[in-house]
Amino acid sequence: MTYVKVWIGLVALTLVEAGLAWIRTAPTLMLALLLVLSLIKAALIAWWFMHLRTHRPKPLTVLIPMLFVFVGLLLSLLPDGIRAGAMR
Amino acid sequence: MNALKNPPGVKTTGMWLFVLSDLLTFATLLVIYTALRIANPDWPRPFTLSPAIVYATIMTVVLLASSLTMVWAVAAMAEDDRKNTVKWLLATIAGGIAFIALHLTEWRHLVLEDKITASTGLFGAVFFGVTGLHMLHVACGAVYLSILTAGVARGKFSAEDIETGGLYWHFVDLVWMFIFPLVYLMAVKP
Amino acid sequence: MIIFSIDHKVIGKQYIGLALFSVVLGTLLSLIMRFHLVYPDAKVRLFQAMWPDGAPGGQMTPELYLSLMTMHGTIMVFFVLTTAPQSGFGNYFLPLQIGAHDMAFPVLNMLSFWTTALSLLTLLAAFFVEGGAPLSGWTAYPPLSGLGRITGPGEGLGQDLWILSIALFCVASLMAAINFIATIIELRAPGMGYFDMPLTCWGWFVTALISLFAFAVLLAGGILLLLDRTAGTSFFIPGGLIVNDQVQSRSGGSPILFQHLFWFFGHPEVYIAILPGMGLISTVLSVFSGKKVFGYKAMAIALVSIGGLGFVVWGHHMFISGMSPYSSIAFSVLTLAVGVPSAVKTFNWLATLWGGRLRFTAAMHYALGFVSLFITGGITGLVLGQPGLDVYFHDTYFVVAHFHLIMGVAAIFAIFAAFHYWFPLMYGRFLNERLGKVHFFLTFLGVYAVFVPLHFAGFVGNPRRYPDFKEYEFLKSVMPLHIGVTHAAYFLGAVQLIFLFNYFWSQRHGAIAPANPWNAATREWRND
Ligand code: HEM
Ligand SMILES: [Cu+2]
Repeated sequence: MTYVKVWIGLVALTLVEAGLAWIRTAPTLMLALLLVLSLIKAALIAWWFMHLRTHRPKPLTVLIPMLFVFVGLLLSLLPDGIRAGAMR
Repeated sequence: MNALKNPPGVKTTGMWLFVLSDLLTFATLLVIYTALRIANPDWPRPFTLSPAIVYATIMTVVLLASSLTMVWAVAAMAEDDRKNTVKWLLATIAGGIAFIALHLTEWRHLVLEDKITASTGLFGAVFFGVTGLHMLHVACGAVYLSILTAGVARGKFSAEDIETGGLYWHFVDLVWMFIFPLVYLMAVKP
Repeated sequence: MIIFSIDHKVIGKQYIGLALFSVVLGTLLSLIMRFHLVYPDAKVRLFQAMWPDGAPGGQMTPELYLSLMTMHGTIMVFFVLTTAPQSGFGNYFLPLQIGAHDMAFPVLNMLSFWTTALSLLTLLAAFFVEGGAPLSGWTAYPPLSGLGRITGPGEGLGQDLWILSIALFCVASLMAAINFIATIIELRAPGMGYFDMPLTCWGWFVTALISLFAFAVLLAGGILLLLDRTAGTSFFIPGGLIVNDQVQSRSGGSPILFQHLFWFFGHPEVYIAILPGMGLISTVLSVFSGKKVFGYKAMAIALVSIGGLGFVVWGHHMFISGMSPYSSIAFSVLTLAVGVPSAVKTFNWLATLWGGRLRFTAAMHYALGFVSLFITGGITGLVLGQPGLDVYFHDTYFVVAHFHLIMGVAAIFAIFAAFHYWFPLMYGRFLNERLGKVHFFLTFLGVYAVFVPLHFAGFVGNPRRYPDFKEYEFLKSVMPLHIGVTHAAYFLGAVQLIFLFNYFWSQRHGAIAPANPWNAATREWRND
């Protein structure tokens, strides 16, 4: 039954996200909120559905943070997006 | 040939490694999307709330539902209940196929009604690029789960195999949790 | 079924065979290129026979030169340096060294080899399609690589095949990486901790971890580039581009983004090529010094930190790309920081030799050669890591000299060392020691004769990827040097026949090897 509860939570968060679009939240704020909500949803899926809660293969404690680091690193190319805009 | 067996847990480790790597591929696409969007302040935002966003929300719920049935399939297999495993696996595959069908309908609408294709500008490029790659993953997942289903029905595969397939399926779902807000919701008509 | 074998030893040998085939092909291409650079006007019948469009009347066109260069680089980097040290020797010896029965996923292993083979075939097919092979180098920068046929003859189907090939290669490498990591994590013999593994295993482990993430990013870049070419998107195509006097209609994208994605992969890729070699060299030096590796733990940690730092320095390939200058400063500092773990490794290798009872076998020769090349090539890396200097040196032969010494040749010396060291296990016989030493000395000489002068060409500002130098007044002075380099290259190429002969001859006629001929302590030599 926990799974059903998690699922209801996921659907509810999805509706909240869609609701943000519905009330036309300002883009920057909306992006921030959406990212937080999405991370929560992803975490719920990983934690419950993918069984990270009970069964955590050994390397993941290192590799999952590593993934976040890599994505953070990739973000360092965003300044070039701004500059590319100036060169358009 | 390979008389010795792997200890339990090796397959899930392998699938997790794949998941992490593929997550980075998707993350890269989304970062490029962000960079391009910064570079193009006049980024188009073509989606109407209804029907486009309502429709996408329904797709999301369908995909989430297929994750729920997948969890049940894994749980059934853990109790060696092959009949229910097959049942829930079939439900999951049906969910995946429904998702693809809804998605293709939406694509058709965009191409025919809104005249947006991959080559009509960066919005279309990102939209079809990202969702296309995701759809490919769902399709592969449906094939993968079909193979598992057929095997389980004939008494093959262990609980770990189903667990591994489940990991893949949830991962496809997890990725969509980022695509839905970033590609759809951030492109709602102002 | 021997062809689709799922035995790690067979797959290892298959990878090695694929790498040998590729290295021969890549070398032949490089010799043709060196020939053309010093005799740009020569009319060669053979060229006309092989490339009727690329060499009309036997006169090589600039486009043909560029396509040979592209294929040379791609074949060498991907199909030689990425396959042999990791998937070749790694497949064969990793399970033996950690006491596993096989790799964790034998079928996946087989699939990854055959995907690699398919990828190679796809690449080679580019030679035979209309327009020939692509022109954009192993880095495939857009817009050149993104616009299609209009930018050059090889930029049609040839470039499509190139991208497809690299995408397949990414998939194959990801499968291999998953296999290596899972094997090391899950299948170590009971009681063997991570810090009980030989350093070779550490090399393969870190390399696999790097591959897992680096190839994922390259895959994304490849997909986007392919979409730019085939679906009419413009992720990497800027607006207002004029090619061959035609204004291009696409706009909005940025080629710098591709450079970022490519080098996010590309710098880690150079470590993918060298880290397995570093691990092996540590083992060989210690075995033939009769001592334990000096500072085992420091060596393992240095491998990990080189791998980690390798992900934060990619911008040093982009100092003049128009990247944000603030990023340049950060990338420069981080790049120079890589010198620290590299130095740790070098000094520990020297300390391993110190006071040992050295046995100068052929494998030991190559290992020492590796250390020498690593130092020579590493020093120039520190020069290039500084934006002020790199603005001048970028895209000159100085860079060519740097990366050939440290990545190309050093990694290949590690492969030679691996052959001599492990041949007894793979074939039950020795590679001929005397031939090996002769080959070592001639190769060592040839390598320095080819690549040291190229640094000086770089000083003069000699650009790389140019098919014909005599068009430029300021390059007149370096032509004698290039003539010398070309002849050294012929010599170097010819000398490799000694190794090929040794390799095939010794499989049948080499001296029979006893069970543990080198008195090594690692598990693969034990017969249990
Ligand atoms: C202390 C260590 C090192 C430093 C500081 C360093 C620095 C650099 C820099 C700054 C460049 C860019 C030059 C330019 O394009 O203008 C470069 C190019 C390159 N380096 Fe290194 N490097 C180091 C070690 C290595 C190693 C270990 C390898 C390979 C095993 C390697 C392989 C390459 C390659 C292949 C290129 C050229 C890529 C291309 O443009 O085609 N480097 N290096
Ligand atoms: Cu680099």
